[in-house]
Amino acid sequence: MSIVDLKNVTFEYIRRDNEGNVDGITTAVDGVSLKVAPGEFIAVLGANGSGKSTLAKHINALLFPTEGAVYVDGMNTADEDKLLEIRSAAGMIFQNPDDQIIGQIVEEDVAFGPENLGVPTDEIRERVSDSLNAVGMSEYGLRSPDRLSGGQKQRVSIASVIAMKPKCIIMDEPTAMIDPGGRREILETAHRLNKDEKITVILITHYMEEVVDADRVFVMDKGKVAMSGTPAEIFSRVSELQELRLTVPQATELAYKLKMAGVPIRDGILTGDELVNAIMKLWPVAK
Amino acid sequence: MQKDNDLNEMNNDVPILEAKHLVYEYRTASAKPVRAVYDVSFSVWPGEFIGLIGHTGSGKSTLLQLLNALETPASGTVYFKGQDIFEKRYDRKMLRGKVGLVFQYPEHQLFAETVFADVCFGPLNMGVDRKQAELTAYDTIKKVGLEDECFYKSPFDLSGGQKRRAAIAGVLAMKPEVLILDEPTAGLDPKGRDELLDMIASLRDKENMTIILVSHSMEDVARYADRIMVMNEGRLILDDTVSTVFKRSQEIKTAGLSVPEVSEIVAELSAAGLPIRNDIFTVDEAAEEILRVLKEYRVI
Amino acid sequence: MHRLDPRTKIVLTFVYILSLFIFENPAVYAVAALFLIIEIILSRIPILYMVKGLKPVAFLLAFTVVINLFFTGGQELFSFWIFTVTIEGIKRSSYLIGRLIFLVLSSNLMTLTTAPVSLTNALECLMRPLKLFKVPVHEVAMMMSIALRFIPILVDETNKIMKAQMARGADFDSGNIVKKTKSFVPIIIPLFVSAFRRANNLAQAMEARCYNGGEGRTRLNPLKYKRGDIVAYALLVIYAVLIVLMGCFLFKAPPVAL
Repeated sequence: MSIVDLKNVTFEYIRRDNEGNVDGITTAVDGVSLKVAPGEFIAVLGANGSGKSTLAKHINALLFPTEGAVYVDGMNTADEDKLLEIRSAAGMIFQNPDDQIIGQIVEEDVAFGPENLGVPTDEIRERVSDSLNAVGMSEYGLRSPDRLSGGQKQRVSIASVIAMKPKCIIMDEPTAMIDPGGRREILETAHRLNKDEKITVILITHYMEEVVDADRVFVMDKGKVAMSGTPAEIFSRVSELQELRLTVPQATELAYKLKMAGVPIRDGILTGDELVNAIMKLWPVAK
Repeated sequence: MQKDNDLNEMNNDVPILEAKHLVYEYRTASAKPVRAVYDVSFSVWPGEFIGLIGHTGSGKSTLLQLLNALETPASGTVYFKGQDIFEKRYDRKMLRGKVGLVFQYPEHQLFAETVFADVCFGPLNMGVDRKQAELTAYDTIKKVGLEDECFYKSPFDLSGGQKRRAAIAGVLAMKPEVLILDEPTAGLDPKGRDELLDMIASLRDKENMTIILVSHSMEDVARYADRIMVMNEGRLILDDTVSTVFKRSQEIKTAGLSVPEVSEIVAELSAAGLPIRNDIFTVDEAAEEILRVLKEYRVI
Repeated sequence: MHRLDPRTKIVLTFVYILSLFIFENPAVYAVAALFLIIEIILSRIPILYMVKGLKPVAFLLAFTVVINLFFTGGQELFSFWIFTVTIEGIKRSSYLIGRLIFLVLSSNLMTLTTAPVSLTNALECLMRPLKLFKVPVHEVAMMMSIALRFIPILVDETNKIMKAQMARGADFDSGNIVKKTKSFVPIIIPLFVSAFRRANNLAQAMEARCYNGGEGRTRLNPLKYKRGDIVAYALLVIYAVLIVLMGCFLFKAPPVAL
């Protein structure tokens, strides 16, 4: 069974002008169907305004489809009785770490989810320390979140979601406001949770480097899924990506340019090492 | 460096901006003051495009604020066209018009009812009369690539990328001679990043504006800047041309930063025996050079 | 002190402050002072640090003293120029100053030894009976703790916005009142916009983490009274009895002269 199953999801909202009159209808998500299997690491790419954030909020039942249906772990998000179950099964990380940390000290924040779920005190304590451990922040339990770096804050947010024992985590541009060092921390944490704890990860981003290690990639454009496939498949379609306001990693771009100029290099090169090997394979011929 | 192609009254023997032994300290709850900037000296020449890099907390944001007197140094000083900006009677308000500073997420400072009124705010503060301010605002909004229909929209109704441009226009309208931008592309999608940086580069090329660009992206800095300054733990540890700085990849890595991916690829190719030039930092250059070598040796 | 239940500390401080306002006589104040000194010693907070805490109210203190010293009618002690010092004046101002100092010190003591989180938790717990009167106790406590969490963030933000507007030539110091007030518009509006944006984001983040109001919530740190709290309550009762006795019987009528 899929952990996340989107069936022809469409989301429209009504724009109003200053007087409150209807100005028009915007279709933020337009007939998206996709399935995510348990344990997958999924990346969702897309330019600003492509509808990827709106889509993500559907999986956590923060938004509900105008048409179609969203199933999380077999539960329909339209089923109000299942709301808490759905939200704890599919945890959500947002872009700005400052706006999602509720507690005044780290451990209070991590405890917030389990507290809402009515978990007994002893077990909350256990979950807090396990979750902080899982993101490598156990030493910071009693700190104030204000004193942490962006990457650390975002790891606290991740711990806070893990404490609800989700089967799936949706990360909505978690690295957009973080510097490269912090970005690496967050990405490593996400991959580790995916491998060690078997948590399904859905990572929304527009940093191409963050997509390279995903199992599958969806590219969104104007509310629709424009491309989907493995990173190698996606990144071999360089010009299409550029049309969607996206770029590719430099190694891929360089390989693409060389290929266009007539160098026989295979498609879908993702890393520098792959490119170096590909070029050096041609080289001995010259000698 | 571009310091020779300057035409107007600017004196080319004097740097447009010069920092001398800047030290900045701040106090926290603990007794010892923390040094955010320590003994930083450099000169900026008219028309230069400088990339300033350093990880979060390296002191670069503080340094920017010292350059237009939003912060006051504990010791050392800054000269704008040879004049000490921390001298008692120096007109620091005018200075802020000449050394324009665009903060991170500048769209968070938009406040007026229309984009047009917001962009007029700066020039009006500088004592420009309303008519002139409006003319300048009109030009500037065009220059940053916003369409006419944006002029009388509320800045809060614009898209993320448009807001960013409107906010940058708010600083540009003061007609600064030096434009300092603190991570202007944060949060934008790749195409949005390229478009914005192209716009900034054109300000230098067309109007000989001096640019200091703070960025986390080595790739961006390599593509646009002609000189790079690297900050680490409050100190300016490297200050040189792009090629010289990126050759010192070890120092860059100790500062918690990395060289552009393409430079590493070129270095690996060279190490693997490809007779290739080593001072390459952009994808286009790398492609050209690899093709040259492959053609020369008749691989293709 | 640090280990006491925050509820105990709130009750303690509350009763203490109440005692200062109900009774106004030297014996009560002497006991109150003694009690406070013992508390400070037990808290192990350096006395000097506590005294420094009075600094922000120093002006208010001086002002109260001056007003009461010179402008209280009664038996004249001495006078110079337009000022007349009366015995009542001296008495009043010394009571007032004592009351203010004790008040500030005791509430400082409470906040210094208690994390804001536990204070809000304790308030929620203490106010629980008010639920019967349909007071949204949980919501109020949640609001308080969120406010506490976001105050430093918004202060930071205000600072940033101010600087950014200064970089655009904004001037906050010169001009008359009207001009000055107007000059804050470019700060207030972005600040509100950002506060609303944050509030919106936070609401979503809370919802995403299954927040559903106070119903059925458990606690990471449930409040539990320990032995120390019983001792503290016992001391409080002794204190209260002592104060009431002295306040009512020892100096039944306000003494005419010192």
